[in-house]
Amino acid sequence: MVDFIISRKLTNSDELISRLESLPSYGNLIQNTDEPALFDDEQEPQSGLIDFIRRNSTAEPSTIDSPNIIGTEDSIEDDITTNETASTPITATNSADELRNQENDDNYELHLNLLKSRVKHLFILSENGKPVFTRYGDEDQLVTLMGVMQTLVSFAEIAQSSRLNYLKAGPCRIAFLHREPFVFVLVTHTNEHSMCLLQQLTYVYHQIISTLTLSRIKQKFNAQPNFDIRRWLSNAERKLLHNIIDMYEHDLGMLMTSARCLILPANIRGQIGQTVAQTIRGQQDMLFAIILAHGQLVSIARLRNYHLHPSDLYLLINLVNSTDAFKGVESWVPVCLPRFDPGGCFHAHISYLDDSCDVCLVLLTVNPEHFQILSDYKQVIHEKLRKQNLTIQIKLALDKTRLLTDEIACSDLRYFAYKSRGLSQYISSKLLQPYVTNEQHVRLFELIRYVYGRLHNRNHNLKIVYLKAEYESLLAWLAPGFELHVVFSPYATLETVTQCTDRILSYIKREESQLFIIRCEYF
Amino acid sequence: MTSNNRQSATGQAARTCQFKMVLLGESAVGKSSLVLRFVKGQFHEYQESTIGAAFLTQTVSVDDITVKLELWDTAGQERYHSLAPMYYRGAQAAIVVYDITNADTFSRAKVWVKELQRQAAPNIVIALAGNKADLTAKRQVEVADAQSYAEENGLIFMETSAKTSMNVNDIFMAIAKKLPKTQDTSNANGGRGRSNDGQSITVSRSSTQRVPGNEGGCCGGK
Amino acid sequence: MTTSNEPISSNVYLVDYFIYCPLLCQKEGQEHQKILYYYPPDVEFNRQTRTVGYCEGLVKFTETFAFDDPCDCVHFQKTRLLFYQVENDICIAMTLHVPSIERKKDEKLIMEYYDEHINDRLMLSVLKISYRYFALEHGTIASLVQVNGVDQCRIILKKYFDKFIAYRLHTMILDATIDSSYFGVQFFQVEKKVYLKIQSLIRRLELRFASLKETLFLYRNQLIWSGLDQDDTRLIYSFFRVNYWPQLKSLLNTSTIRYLTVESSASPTDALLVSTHVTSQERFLGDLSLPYQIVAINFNWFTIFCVFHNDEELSNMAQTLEKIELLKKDLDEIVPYFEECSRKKYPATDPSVKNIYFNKMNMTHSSTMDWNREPTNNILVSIMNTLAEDLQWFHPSGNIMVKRENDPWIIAKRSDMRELLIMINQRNVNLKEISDKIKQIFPTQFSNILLLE
Repeated sequence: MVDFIISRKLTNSDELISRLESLPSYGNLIQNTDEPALFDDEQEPQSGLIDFIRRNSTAEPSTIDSPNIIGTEDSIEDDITTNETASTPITATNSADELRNQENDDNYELHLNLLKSRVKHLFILSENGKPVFTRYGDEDQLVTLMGVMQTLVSFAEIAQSSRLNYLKAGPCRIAFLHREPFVFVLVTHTNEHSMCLLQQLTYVYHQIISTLTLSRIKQKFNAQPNFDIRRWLSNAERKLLHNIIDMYEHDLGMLMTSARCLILPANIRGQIGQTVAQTIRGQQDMLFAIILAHGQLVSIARLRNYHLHPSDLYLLINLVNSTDAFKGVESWVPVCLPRFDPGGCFHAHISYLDDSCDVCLVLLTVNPEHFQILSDYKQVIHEKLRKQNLTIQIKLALDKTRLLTDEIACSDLRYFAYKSRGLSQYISSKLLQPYVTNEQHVRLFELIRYVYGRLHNRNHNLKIVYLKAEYESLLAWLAPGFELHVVFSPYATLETVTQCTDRILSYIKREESQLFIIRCEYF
Repeated sequence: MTSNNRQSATGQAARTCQFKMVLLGESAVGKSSLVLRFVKGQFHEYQESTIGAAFLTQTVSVDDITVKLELWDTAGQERYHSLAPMYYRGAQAAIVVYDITNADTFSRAKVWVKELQRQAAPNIVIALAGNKADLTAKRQVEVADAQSYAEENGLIFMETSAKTSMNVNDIFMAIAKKLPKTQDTSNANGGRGRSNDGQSITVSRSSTQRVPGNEGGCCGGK
Repeated sequence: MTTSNEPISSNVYLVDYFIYCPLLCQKEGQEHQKILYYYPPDVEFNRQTRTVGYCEGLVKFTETFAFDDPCDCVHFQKTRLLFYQVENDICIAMTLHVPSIERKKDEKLIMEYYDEHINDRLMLSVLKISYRYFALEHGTIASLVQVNGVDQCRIILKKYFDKFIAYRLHTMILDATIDSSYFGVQFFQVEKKVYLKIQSLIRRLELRFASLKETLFLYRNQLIWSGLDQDDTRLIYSFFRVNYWPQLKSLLNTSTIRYLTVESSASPTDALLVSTHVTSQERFLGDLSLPYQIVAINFNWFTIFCVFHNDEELSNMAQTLEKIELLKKDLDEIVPYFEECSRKKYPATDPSVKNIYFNKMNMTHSSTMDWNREPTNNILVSIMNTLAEDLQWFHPSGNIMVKRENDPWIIAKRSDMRELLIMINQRNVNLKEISDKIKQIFPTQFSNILLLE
């Protein structure tokens, strides 16, 4: 029997879009910003930008040491570190070396099974086929496999002057990305859109660039084509690669290229921002000052005319979230932000503003000699915020687990995420039952990514996607000023959907000042 | 560890000295563990690699003098090598760490010592720490060899174990003791000052000289 | 950005088409043995071998991850590679060129590739059916190799595919639509009385011929009855529509019985041969690809496919003709009914609603899309194609509705084995009106399907 239910659905859905557009909340939300307040997710990375900033800012003429010195220094050090095992222990103890030499056959079997049993694999190899990283297992066991990957990629480039993008096997996908001098391969059992596949691979590429800086990598490979780049990756840095993929699966901000803010009353946030900006004002070479709390943005101040791209922000968030070693100390970390300038790097002063290490201050400068200066700023900011009780306010905001869905009062509503396109920021409600397990969380986000992929499919220019699946219904709406994703129970009627969406948009309009960073602080 | 108390038992204002100390050594030898043990009394079996460098301070009391140590725990990864001068420049002390269960790290340590002797402050106090001394079964570097090397080069030498805390305080104290406290290096304003890394000991090179680290930090330059 | 009606100037076209079997070559240096067929023929052996080797590499690499399905398509920047693993390691593949346009960007001329203009699902179905048509006429490749040997098999493949590609494949690729991709069957609804008459007609025919295995009974281009299993029915039905129907519909309909044979790899305008003598053609059907003799009888708008186990009985021409002539009377009786049915005016289908329906369980396929009106490369069609592909993964049911700025809603729904795609072009109409309209459509368009279940 042909299902007649569809006819009833159609009658409601046909008017859905016109009803959505006539909602009072919709009109108010179209943002018009002349200069993006914080983020510019359209900006093209400029190679050499950091160099340029540096050269223009230093009063004294920079006496540039001849690059040869650096070159020879590097080669000296390479001659000395005799074998790889000495400098890249996987675990803290040296017994790891012994373990690896034993039972190679068994290990290989183990690895073959590993390849078959996991849902998502990530592999990184160098252009000449050398293993660099694998999400599961030990990449040394996968030398042959990586060699195959390299051949597959280069054959297409050489024999066909074409790029190998991805292959499909039923719903499964294997995607390839060649970004000199690496090749990235993503294997997934889920029906991911090619856009999302590329996004994930690009984030991983950016993560590795962020850690090592592109120009440095290229220089090294030019000098030594067979260099094993793993020697440059410590276990903490490999953790960053693991975590960037995990983050992508658990976070919509990376998908939508927008930052997530801690919900704070606007005046509090303003005070925090002004405190930071005033402290730093006028300091040469400082570009960004960011305060993070549990991966959410509290405040950001910047030098006029320089923008941070949201995906660069996520690299910083990943760095902070992944590194426990930053807690309780002041760290001075060279960090490259690929969307800003893949060829240069910032130096980041990273420290916490509170004893329980919830609130992190990241100061970014292009001058590697300025640790002391930034360290002093940190002290000043720390004191000022403490005196004004602002640090406490931040922690209170953290504790306040805003459910958001409660505030919308719709029984079929399970989750929503709203992105302000003009601000490149988004907010989302807290994940409740049944999405409290990791499995459900990942599954839901896969579904959202599917809908996102449909919505943003190039050339299709869709405005609305409404999916009714087995366990939930999803509405995705792309409007000029915003993008909205809402998850309902599978039984929600279209009336509920429309009503609920209206409530969400009204809520956001009302609470806007707390949910987003609207104005930017400059120093 | 005594606190930075400006009044000693005799009621006289105690002197405060401040020194910059850097830890160098190959990746995974235990630099961070040593610092963590010294400053916080903690030890983590699977301590993560250091990213960049970590800065901490610890104050000790040496003969009625309060000595504040500004510790730079550097990442041992070879790609950070070109940044090292930024940390040991103007440092009054350095600990070069190696892992007694790994002979390669000892060779590397010697290279560090040589570099310090050539490029760091001429009267920098250098200590050699043979860490992971608790792993006696896996020893690859003999005490005698390290001892004689240290003597030849005028280094303080101790085998340490961040895990058991053996000799950890001792080595830092030994350095603190050896540091020249003839000059009162604390600034009048009591803060850390804004001058370059707070050093006041004469350095043979001009302080404006750019070292590789300045040109691009981790970047190879263009 | 392209509007919904702007076509892409460069079309999809075939780059290569090849069939290979890795098992055929065990030694190094003899990789060329693996190749059973390769188009274009002027590609040098080394390149052919490399291309095939690369495909093998891709497939093998995919196997490392133990997916449920084998690798079926590969997206390159400039081309699309599609695979179909036919039987025991015999693999067919084809490469298509991705439509592209040269554009000026920042003073430079760059090539933009429109990956999304090739829908994998449609192309894979073209690939599959191209093989199945071959197997229908010649049997499976495995059996050919077994019976005739590898070299002879190569010759047969070359003879068939060179022509097939030249005359048919390019068109199939360009004209592929969702409708053609289902290889479903359009059934003709008959009332019970007539249905029983047809059944008894068939039974009597079967009684006259001992070796007559099964029949298919069609009126115009719709199926009324088939005694074959689903796969074979779909195959013969599709074969009929592609090779017989285009010419049949323009032939004068006489009241004499005619016999049809088809040279399927010939150009479509030359494919159909009509004679007044009983002619049969060998066709291979069933899982085991057994040979049968098929006689296609045409009378008025009726076509009956008779599947014989062998042609022994047919050798006696006079007798055979006599037996078949007996059909004429029965067929004459039911002609008026069918003529009336054809004249019957169905309520005009609502032009604002277009739908495509397919039921996997009984192969039923119906559609109100007018592909002549909708150019196959426009955006709305592209969206429908994409959603149809997605439907495969909506287990066991689900539906998705999408809308562009000023364009119709497109809905794709799956309910177990049934798939439905709808395009509704209604705006500013109130709820009740739409609801009523849709309720009207369903009984007329879909109720005829119900009878056959």
